[in-house]
Amino acid sequence: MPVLLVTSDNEQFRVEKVVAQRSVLIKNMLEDVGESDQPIPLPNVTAPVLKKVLEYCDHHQTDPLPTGDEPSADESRKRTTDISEWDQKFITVDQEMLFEIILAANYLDIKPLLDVGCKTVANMIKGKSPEEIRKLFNIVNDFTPEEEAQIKKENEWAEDR
Amino acid sequence: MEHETEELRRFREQWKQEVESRLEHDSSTAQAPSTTRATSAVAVTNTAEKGASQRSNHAGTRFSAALDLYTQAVKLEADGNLDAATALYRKAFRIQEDIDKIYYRSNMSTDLRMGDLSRDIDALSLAQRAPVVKAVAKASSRTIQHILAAFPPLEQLVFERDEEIQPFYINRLPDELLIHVLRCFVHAADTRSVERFGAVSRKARVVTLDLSLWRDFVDLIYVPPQLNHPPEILLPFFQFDYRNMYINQPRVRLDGVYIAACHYVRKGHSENAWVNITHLITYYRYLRFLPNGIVLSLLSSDATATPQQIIPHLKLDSPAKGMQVGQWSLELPSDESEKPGVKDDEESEERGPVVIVDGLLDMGTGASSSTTSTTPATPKYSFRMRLGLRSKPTGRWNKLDILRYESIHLSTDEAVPLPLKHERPYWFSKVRSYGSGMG
Repeated sequence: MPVLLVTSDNEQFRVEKVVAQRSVLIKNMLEDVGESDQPIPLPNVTAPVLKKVLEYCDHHQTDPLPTGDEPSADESRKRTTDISEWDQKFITVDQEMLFEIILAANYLDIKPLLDVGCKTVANMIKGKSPEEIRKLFNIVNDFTPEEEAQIKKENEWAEDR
Repeated sequence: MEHETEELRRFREQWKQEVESRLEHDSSTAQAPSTTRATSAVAVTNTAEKGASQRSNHAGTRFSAALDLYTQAVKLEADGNLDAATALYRKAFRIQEDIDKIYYRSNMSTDLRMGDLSRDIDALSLAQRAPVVKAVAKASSRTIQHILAAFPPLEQLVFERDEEIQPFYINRLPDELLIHVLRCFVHAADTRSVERFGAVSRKARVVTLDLSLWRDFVDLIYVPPQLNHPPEILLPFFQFDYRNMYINQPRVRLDGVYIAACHYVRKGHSENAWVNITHLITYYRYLRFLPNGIVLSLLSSDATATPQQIIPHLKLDSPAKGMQVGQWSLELPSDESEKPGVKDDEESEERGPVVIVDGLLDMGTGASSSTTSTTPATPKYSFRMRLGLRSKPTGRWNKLDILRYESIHLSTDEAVPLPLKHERPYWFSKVRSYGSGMG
């Protein structure tokens, strides 16, 4: 039975239950409500982002569901760095969309998608100098020169040659 | 319904037990080790201070010059002359590398005289902790606390937009999601990426100090044989700061190899009496430490074999020719001071953490030893090394000084020291393919 989702900008998405249930938030809502035709409002997600998120859920609909907050699951998640080829292609979006996907995945409680998003941001940061990271995110350097000198020294321990 | 209450009751029982066991654990562990550590830490400080006062005489003038420069720089900065200030800060740091701490310490004592009570208490507890910090820490987190003191509180810190015409989205991510991003660096022990992100802005520095993030780093690395008790026991010595602990608690680096490049000149023989021949002999020693307490050692006298060629074979399943395998352990300074066997003249070198590599035996060439039935002659000797674990000049625990190297006659257990005439210290190189080294 399909489920009706309503975004913050009032667009309606009709999706298969197995797809929608990739979101633990929606899954719990459906379990609480039971069989019903009621649309599910998602006030924190806009239509373009939900469309993207549903694309992910559709592709991964047969994956085993994450088993909650067991430490072992957590451990294995931390250990795998690489992003699958499909996910990589999926997550090749502009920065705004990337952050919006992360926020939506967090709100909708889709852990694997949250991880893909966060790993992508981490990969963008990796290997860059502080100045390059500022450029990447358009952040201003708000340290005073004294602070910057001190911070540089304080962080020196992590610079392996 | 019945089923549910049963489950609830079980959960409650379990939870109670967990809380009780944690309480017990806390009370039993917190006291005993802390007293022994504290005394040894004080001992180390005393000797450290002795050394410092001896040095201070000729360093005195340099030192006050650096302090002057730093004070001037602070003034210039306050006046808005940033370029000149930066130049002076650089100069001051070049003369005295911990000038910022010294500057603030001298400022703190003047603040103290002002008599603000809460500050007095803070400063007192800082002073009490100071010995431990001085003993274990070069890059102490006290610096960072001074830097943070000037920042507005975290709630008010935001990333500021740089270029108006460029897009700017990072402020949309709440702190917990930023930390989620930084967590991705834990599995590879990639602290460098975290610290570089921390150097981006004030907010980034505060977020990257997150305790749970650094607890993950600590929990990843400080497991036996690196540390033979739960890391939490040592936390009081690092002001309950996991980052401080990660920086300053000794650890053998598993995320790369230690390499010693040794050279010596040997006189050669010549037919011609008018010609003197000398050979420059170069050889490399490699040590790779594995998380399970096994260490791989290789001496490569083939000058044409580059580290890039050697490193892929520093592993158990396809060993390089001539590789030796042994066990490693880490001896922390506190264990050392209780050891009666250490002679006086060795003490200066032996201070600080020591890595012991023991039971080094030839592995033989991997392929032949496993396939041929002719068993190689049983070894008569094994080898043992004592190595001083040091941090210099940047990076952490990246140097191993050979303190002692001996051969052990296996049937008699007799140890014979080997000459260290040509040996050079090992230097650490990170190997990206090893990851954190824990996998």
